[in-house]
Formats: sequence, structure tokens, C-alpha cells
Amino acid sequence: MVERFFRNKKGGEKLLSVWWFFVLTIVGVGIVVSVLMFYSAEEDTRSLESEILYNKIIDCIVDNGFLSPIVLNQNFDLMKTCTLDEKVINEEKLFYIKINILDENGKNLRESIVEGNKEFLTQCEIQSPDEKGKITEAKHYAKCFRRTIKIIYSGEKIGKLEILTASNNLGRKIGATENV
Amino acid sequence: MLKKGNFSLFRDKRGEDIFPNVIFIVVNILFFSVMMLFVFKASTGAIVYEQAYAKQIALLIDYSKPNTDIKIDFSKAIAVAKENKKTANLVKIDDVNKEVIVSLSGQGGYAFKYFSDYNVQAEFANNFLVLHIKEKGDVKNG
Repeated sequence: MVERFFRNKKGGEKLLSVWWFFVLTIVGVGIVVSVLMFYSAEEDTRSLESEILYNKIIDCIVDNGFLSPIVLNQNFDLMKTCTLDEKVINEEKLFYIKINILDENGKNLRESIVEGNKEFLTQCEIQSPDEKGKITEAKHYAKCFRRTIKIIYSGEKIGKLEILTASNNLGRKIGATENV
Repeated sequence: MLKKGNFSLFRDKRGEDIFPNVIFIVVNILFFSVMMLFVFKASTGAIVYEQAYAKQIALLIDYSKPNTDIKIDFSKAIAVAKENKKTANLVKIDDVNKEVIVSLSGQGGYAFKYFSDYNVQAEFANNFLVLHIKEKGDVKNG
């Protein structure tokens, strides 16, 4: 009786053969692996974070196009003024900030303000568009956001503010043994 | 119809067994049903929502200004947690490490860092997660 499920009258293997189970297994494993890979993939929010960081800095140091006078002071503390966390940015090195303040002729008005992981500067340079506008994508490199805006400083002088922000903040899965 | 020794119910007109074909179809339907159930379970599973909510909360914290209250619809996450028999400690804001931890199952969770140096408190109001974002050291309102 059992043999009949697997063999037809001519004795040949019917549809529920070892091969068929093999095909089902391959299809099953394929579906399981691809679904797990798809749903365990990281949602990349690094570009968005870089942009949020840029906006936060702009909101903090520029008011209606006027550069806050304290920024030109060499003792200016970006982290405190803009309520950025020292530990996450400078110790854990998940972010990078570089600010250049230039006059009308492109001359630096003060030293560049640099915070965070300095390696990200190179990663941003590599990923920036070349002369032909071609962008090199690097999956594990930090995602960068760069903008230059016009500002008014020291009363009525016009200058430029260059801000580069980068993030390589990838979340982490917590195991069952860790305290949540 | 059901003659002794001749199960005509399981034979076609030519007298061939149709039982193996029925089994074949049933096994196939069963297999693809299990696969579809697996895909559905995976797509609505805790692992997807933990990551999505952790990142959403962290980005909202970074995007907001001090003295802001944010209300997030957390009903889907609560439903997923209930399916996994988890009712407490769904969200933890680690103020020291600046980390949002979302756990919707008993098997760990997902952690995501934020860069703002705020004092953040989270509480649930019905199906909503309410975030109170204050300036650091704002004890009076915190």
C-alpha cells in the first residue's frame, strides 16, 4: 500500500519521489534563507542622521542668516552650545562634524571646528562626486552630508559657512542574555 | 460505489489509483501554506518592529528641541509584544549611554544610539508612547 504512494503501476517512481522531496527542501531552504536575509537587513538611516545633525548645528549657530558671535571665539564649545553628547560623538566615534567659517574671499575666519571620528573625513572625500559627477558608494563607510551657506557675521559682513557631518551609527541587536 | 476490495472512490475511470495524486496535491498545498505562514510571521515579527521603532525614536529625539513632548503610536508594537507574551519594558531610554532599546519579545531587542545630550523620559499612555524631552539638568520639569 505504502509503496503505491511512491510508485505507479509500471514500477516507475511517481511524483512523491526522493527527488521531489529534494526539490521541496531546496525551495523551502531558499525561501527561508531569503526571507531571513531580507528582514534581518539593516534599515540604513545614516544619511538621514547626518542631515539631522547638520540641521541641529545650523539651528544652533545661525539665526536668520546671522552667525552667532560666540562661534568666532576660539574657546567656542560646539558640543555644549548645541547640546551634543560628548561621549557618543568623541568617544564612541560614531559621528563626525567639521565646520569652516570663511569670509567673502574664502579666507578662514577661525580654525576649523572638528569633532568626532576624523577618519570619516577621508571616507566622505572618497564618496564625494568626482569631476564627472560620479559617486563612489561604500557600504561600510560613514554617510556624509555637506552644505555651504551664506552667512552674515560681525554686523554686516558676508561670509560662508561650510558644514560637513557624517554618521556611521548602525544599531545593534541585543541578545536574550543581555538586560533589556 | 464502495465495493469490497475495490475502492472505486480512489480510482479514476481507467482504474488507476488517484490516491497518490491526492496526497501529492495535499503535500504541496501543505508545504506552500507553511512557507506562506513563515513569510507572514517573519514580516510581522518582533525583529522588524524592534529595529524600526528604535530608529524612529532615536531620530525623533535628535530631531526635536528641548522641552518637547512627542506622542508616538505604539499600537502595532504593543500587539507584536502581546503575541510574544511580553507586556512590560518594551522601551528603555538609556540616558547614560544615549541609547534607545526596544524589546518586543523575550529574546533580546534592538538598540540604537542618539547624539543629543538631552534628558529623555518615556511613558506609555494607552497605545501611545510619550517622550518628554528636556534639557540636561532640567530637574524642575524632568
